[in-house]
Amino acid sequence: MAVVVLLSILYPFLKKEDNKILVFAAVSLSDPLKEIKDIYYQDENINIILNFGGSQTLASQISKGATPDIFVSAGISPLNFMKRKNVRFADSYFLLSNKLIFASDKQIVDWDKKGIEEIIKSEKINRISIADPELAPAGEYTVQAINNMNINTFIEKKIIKAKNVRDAVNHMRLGLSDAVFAYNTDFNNYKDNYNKKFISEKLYNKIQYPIIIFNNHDQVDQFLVFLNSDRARNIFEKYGFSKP
Amino acid sequence: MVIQSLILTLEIAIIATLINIPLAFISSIIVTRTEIKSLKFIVDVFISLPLVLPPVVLGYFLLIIFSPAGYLGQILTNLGVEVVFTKFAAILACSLVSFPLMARAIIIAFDSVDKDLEKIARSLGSNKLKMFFTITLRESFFGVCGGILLGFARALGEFGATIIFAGNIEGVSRTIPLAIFQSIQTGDDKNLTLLISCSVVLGIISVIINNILISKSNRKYK
Repeated sequence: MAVVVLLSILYPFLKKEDNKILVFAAVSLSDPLKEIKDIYYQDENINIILNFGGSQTLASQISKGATPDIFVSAGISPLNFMKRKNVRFADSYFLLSNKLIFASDKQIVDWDKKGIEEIIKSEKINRISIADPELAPAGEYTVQAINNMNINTFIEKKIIKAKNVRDAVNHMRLGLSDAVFAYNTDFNNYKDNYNKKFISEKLYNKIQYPIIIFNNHDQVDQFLVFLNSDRARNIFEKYGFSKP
Repeated sequence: MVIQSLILTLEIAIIATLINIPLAFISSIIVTRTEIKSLKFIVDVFISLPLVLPPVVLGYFLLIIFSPAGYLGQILTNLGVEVVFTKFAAILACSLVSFPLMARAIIIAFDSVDKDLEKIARSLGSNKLKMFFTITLRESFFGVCGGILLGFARALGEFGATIIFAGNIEGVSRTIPLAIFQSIQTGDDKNLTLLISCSVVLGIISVIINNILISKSNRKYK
């Protein structure tokens, strides 16, 4: 009852706005998408509403009835989850890709010359944070890379698992671990002293960010064209994302 | 970003509290003044339910009810109304989560009012509404204010139901707790420190005012 009364009072404020696009995106995309939103609003006067969260959380919100126009997921598993739940969408393709890195804030001599194996064996690296492969896609890629490098025997004792890749990075920054396997883009905001090494892309499956389109009307199509333009690409690349 | 989410947090919490006050009064009167035991029991259970359910579960309930595919959502969509992922959704989530704290405190305050005074007022010809404002509310004033403040403070800190039902959208639903979550996830240390300070200061102010009100109401009853 109270809700009905309230809704009728607030009706004029709740009327659906036309000039807007609701975008769900993985938190890791916050910085580049915010920049894109601002530019797009200036140019086209269309309001991009950004909702950030963990990709899997967003996917289950969608399966429970949330209705974004577009969803950019970090990794393919939330997309597969939605397919299993029979969520209907118009189209999907890969928008971006990311890279796996190994980083440490410990001072290690000749970081650049040494291989990852040698660094991990060093006595300064006692604990290494990774994202839990059962909970986060980053963890799956990390485990693939570790297996393919054939270093699991001596790395196993040093590993601590975090619930997602961002927490793994925070572990290292709080001194709970000495090194971390994470995405290249996880370090954008950190000015602290740390060294990083890219892990050869042959060692793990390609890390791809699918974009899923639910609403195929003109406004959305126009925004998708912009997302794929060089201008938007340059912004994504500035923050460490690459082409798919 | 910090100022924006601070203002948004206060705005959402104040509106949520204003919505809750009349509902909390009505349900508290039912619980403390009704003779019908079953009605009292049912209202009491519904008041307390949001307190014991995880806020995330409440958020999912709201999402299922109000989403365009949901029961109420279908009707609203046909009327051209949109609730999910709007500021109104954030207000609704805050209302629901903070309601039990407010209502339970007000129940205690109403319970402590001397029933004989109410009877005297009635016997002297006062109607129920007049009796409520001149006796019940006046006698329990500080306790009621404490309850309202407690609900408001809870609304300031609401996170779980909001992120599920209203999302994490800047200027719409990104209140201080959600902005803190966002800053941790993106590694935005500078804003994180500011946001946490805001949150702590707001919390301390609420607790201090609440304690003052409680001590005033205790003195009154002694």
